[in-house]
Order: sequence, then C-alpha cells, then structure tokens
Amino acid sequence: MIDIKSALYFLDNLWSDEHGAFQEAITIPIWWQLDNYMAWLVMRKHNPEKARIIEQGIISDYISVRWCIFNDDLVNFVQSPDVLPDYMRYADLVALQFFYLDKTKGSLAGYHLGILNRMYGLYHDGFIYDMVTSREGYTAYKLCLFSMCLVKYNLMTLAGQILDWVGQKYQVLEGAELGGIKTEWIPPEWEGQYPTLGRLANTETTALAIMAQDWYDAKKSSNNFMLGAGVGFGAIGAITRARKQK
Amino acid sequence: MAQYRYPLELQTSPFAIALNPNETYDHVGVYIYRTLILPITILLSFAASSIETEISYVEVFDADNDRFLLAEKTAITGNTEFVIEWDGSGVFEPRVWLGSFVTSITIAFNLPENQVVMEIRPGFNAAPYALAMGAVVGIGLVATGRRK
Repeated sequence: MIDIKSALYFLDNLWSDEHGAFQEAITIPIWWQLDNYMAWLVMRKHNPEKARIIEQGIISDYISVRWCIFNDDLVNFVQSPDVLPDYMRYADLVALQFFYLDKTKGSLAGYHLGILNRMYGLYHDGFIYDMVTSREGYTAYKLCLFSMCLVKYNLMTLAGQILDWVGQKYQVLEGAELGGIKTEWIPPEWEGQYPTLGRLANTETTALAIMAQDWYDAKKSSNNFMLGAGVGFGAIGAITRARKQK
Repeated sequence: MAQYRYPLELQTSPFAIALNPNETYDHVGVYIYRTLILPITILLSFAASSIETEISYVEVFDADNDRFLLAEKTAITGNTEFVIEWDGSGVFEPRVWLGSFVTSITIAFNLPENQVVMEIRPGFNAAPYALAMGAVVGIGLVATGRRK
C-alpha cells in the first residue's frame, strides 16, 4: 500500500507559504497550476487550510480538462476521444474515459476497464503496457488510475495488489524525497536512454497516489462498516429478543 | 472526409469495412489500431471484379510510421486475399484507388486469448446486502420477541 502519512510529509516539504502552493519537485522550484489542482483535490481531505489557500490562490482561475473528473466536473472535462481519436492506446486516456462513462452510465465503461486489464495483464509483471511505455518507462500514475477504476467497480483485491506494487516500486523510502511517489520506474538496463525527469518524485503523481489510496481505504471502510453494521443489527435484535423473553 | 478509427481488440473477426470514398480514393480513412502494441497477422480480403480488364489498385498505409504494409498501388483482379504481418504499431489503413472495382473489404485476425478485451462488470458487493439482511433479521427478532 501507499504510505499516505509519508506521502503527505513529502508534499509538506514542497509547500511554499510565499506562493501558497506546492512546487513541482524537490529540485524544481516551479509552481504549476496543474500540480496544485491535483494537490487541492487531496488536500480538501488531508489539510483543508492548504486546500483553501490553493483554491483561492494559484488555481482560482484554473480549469482542468482532465483531473476535473475527480471533482465531478463533467462540464469542463474533455472526453478522451476528443483528445485523441485513437485514445484507446493510452492507458491514462482510457482510464479517464472510464470515469466519465461510469459517471454518465455509458455502456462501454466495462470495455474500457477491460482494455486496462489487458494492458496490465499482458506480461504479468505488475506494470501497464501502453503506446508510450517503451518511450517513457513504467508510469506510476497509470497504475494509480487503474486501481481507482477497479475500486469504482468494487474489484478490491486487484486494486489493493496494484497499490501494494506502487508503494513498493515507486514510493521513496529515504533521502530528500522521502515519501514521494516517483513518476516513472525505469529498468536498470534502460539507464541513460531516457529522460531523467520522470524519476523524480513530484507533486502531481504523489497527489494522485494519495487519492488512489484514499479511494481504496474509503471503499474498504465503507464495505467493512456495512458488514459490521449488518452483523450488529442482527446481534442487537437477538439480544433484545432474548431479554424480552426472559 | 470522415475518418473512422477502430481498435482491433474491440472488433469481432472477421469484420467488413464500409467503403468510404473521397476525391482521391474509392476507399480511405478507415484506420485500424491496436490497444496493445503487439504483432499480429491480418488476413485482408478485397472483393473485386474478376473481369481481366477491370483492374483494381489497393494498398495498406501506416501514416503514423509513414510506411506501406501492403505495397503502394498493388494491382488485383477478382477476389484477392493478402496475409499481412503487422507489428501492431501505428495504424492499418486499407486504401482503394479511385476507379477501382472493389465492392467490399474484410479484415480477419486471430487474437491470442490474453489479448482479447473482455467487458469487466462491477464486482459483487456483499456489504449493502449484509447490512440490509442484518437490519431485517434484527427487526424481525425484536418484533417476534414482542409478540410473545
């Protein structure tokens, strides 16, 4: 699983009171609206004060056409077929379209999840393979999105396995980036062939990973609560009846 | 010109491509692409006039990689099949030249089981039912206890 506490600690280190925003990464003092929109989505739960500062500051005039789907904003969301006609080759676009179809009760949502499942299960090695994997490496945020799709469909076992993998493979365990989630994982044999930027832990990916873990935890809690409440109701009924019969 | 893009994994083999003429081609603008970038063998069939003088010209172009998967302006007469080994990258766009005598195009392929895309349905969630069942049982027990 992803260690949320540690991931939030990483984000805290990227926070600037002066800018009222999170910078992109430890070594990159740039404050993107996109990154902060993502951070805002998770800070609403974990740090409402920072969420307020971000909302009233850096993202006050910002419209996200992708991540707004997580704010239930279907008006500004640009559907994946409008981004790329052949979007089904890109795991993130498939996942985002899945969320849209799921929210709008679109008939093809299950097929979108099926495509992601094939991209994930192709080599059974824990990674997603899509059009750009060979160019960019293995991307954490696509795994997080897939996990979130699975949580939506109550497929909790696989969702949990994926989050385990993301935590294990992408979350930084020591050093200045402690707790952060790296964008990409590059096999050792690919060293030197690909851009290094993706190997930094950054705000956007870390925020998305926190959100994925939050979704998983919330669904688990809700399921457990309902199971517990069901058992509880039954038990209370039995006890009450037994007492009355005495 | 209308363009049509079909993900191969969501098609049932074989499937026919509707002719889509424009001012240069009798058929063009229908792109097949793979959601999994893996090699596949495509059986491409053209139904065409079998009269010797009525020659049709066909080709398969991959615009993403600027390459022909079936040689440019391949001449055919009669119903003709091509077995094309496609590495799965880019797009697979069958084209028919203007003035040809092709009446239909069919694509057939055999996807390995691990590449077939299946619709995934939401998992069964027992929790709400457990809650409802518990409530019914609990209330039932209390109610029947009262009667006694």
